[in-house]
Amino acid sequence: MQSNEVRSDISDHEDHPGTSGIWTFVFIDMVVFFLFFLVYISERLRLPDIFSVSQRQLDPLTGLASALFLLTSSWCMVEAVHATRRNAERAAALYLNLALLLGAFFAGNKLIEYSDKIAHGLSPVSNGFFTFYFLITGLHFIHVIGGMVFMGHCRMRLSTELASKNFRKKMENVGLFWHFVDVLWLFIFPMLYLAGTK
Amino acid sequence: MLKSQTKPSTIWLILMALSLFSTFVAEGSKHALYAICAIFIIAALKGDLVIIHYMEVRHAAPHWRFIYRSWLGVMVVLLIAGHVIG
Repeated sequence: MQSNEVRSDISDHEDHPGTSGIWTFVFIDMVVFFLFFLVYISERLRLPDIFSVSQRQLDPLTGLASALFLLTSSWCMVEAVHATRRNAERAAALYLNLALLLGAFFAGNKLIEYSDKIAHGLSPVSNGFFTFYFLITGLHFIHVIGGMVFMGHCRMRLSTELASKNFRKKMENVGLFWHFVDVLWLFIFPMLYLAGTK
Repeated sequence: MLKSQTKPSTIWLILMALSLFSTFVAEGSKHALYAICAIFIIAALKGDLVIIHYMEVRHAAPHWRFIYRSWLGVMVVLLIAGHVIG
């Protein structure tokens, strides 16, 4: 009897994408990142010269490449979710693989960038800007890895669970999370890489 | 105005083009203030496209659409104000 009292929201609002839990989780994440951005801006106002000079040490093309990888991965994830809804296993597998691959490109690009910065003596303790650079991009990087783990899980379960409603909801949830990771980069990219070129 | 049923591939092309354009504006513009405003407004537009067309917020519970799009608005105001004042 007790199991009936605590029900998963998967069965509710089947026409809505994802579950209410993932929408809430993403919203909490939005608030967390907003606070990081707010503190970044307040520190930038306090130390404008250090931030401006430091920002010029980032390569806008590296940030752009990251944005293009994530945007393309996000599109592949949309196609994977759509394919799951119509039980098209091959298409879902193909697009999930591509989404994962592009996520890996993003991660690889980020690791190369980190190693380059560290090789040039730039670390989270170098100055205020690089503290935020490593903190914000590092937290975002953890989200990327988390999203890739979820996508990998879905990829492994695809052939056995494709027809189930729970799997469709799971794919939608992973997709929503992945798109939010993409949206975050859409702001991180101009804030850290582009706004300093002026 | 883009329809909510616009193909994901069309949205992807627009997002890619806007990303390239914002980099071009940031690197090429001689007016720092306009460039700062432009790159953050473009970021918010891209975020809106992702939230509407990829996250399908129109089909979610109605309050999420308001909350998520409001977050974009708050973000763009914060970032523009923070850079313009500075």
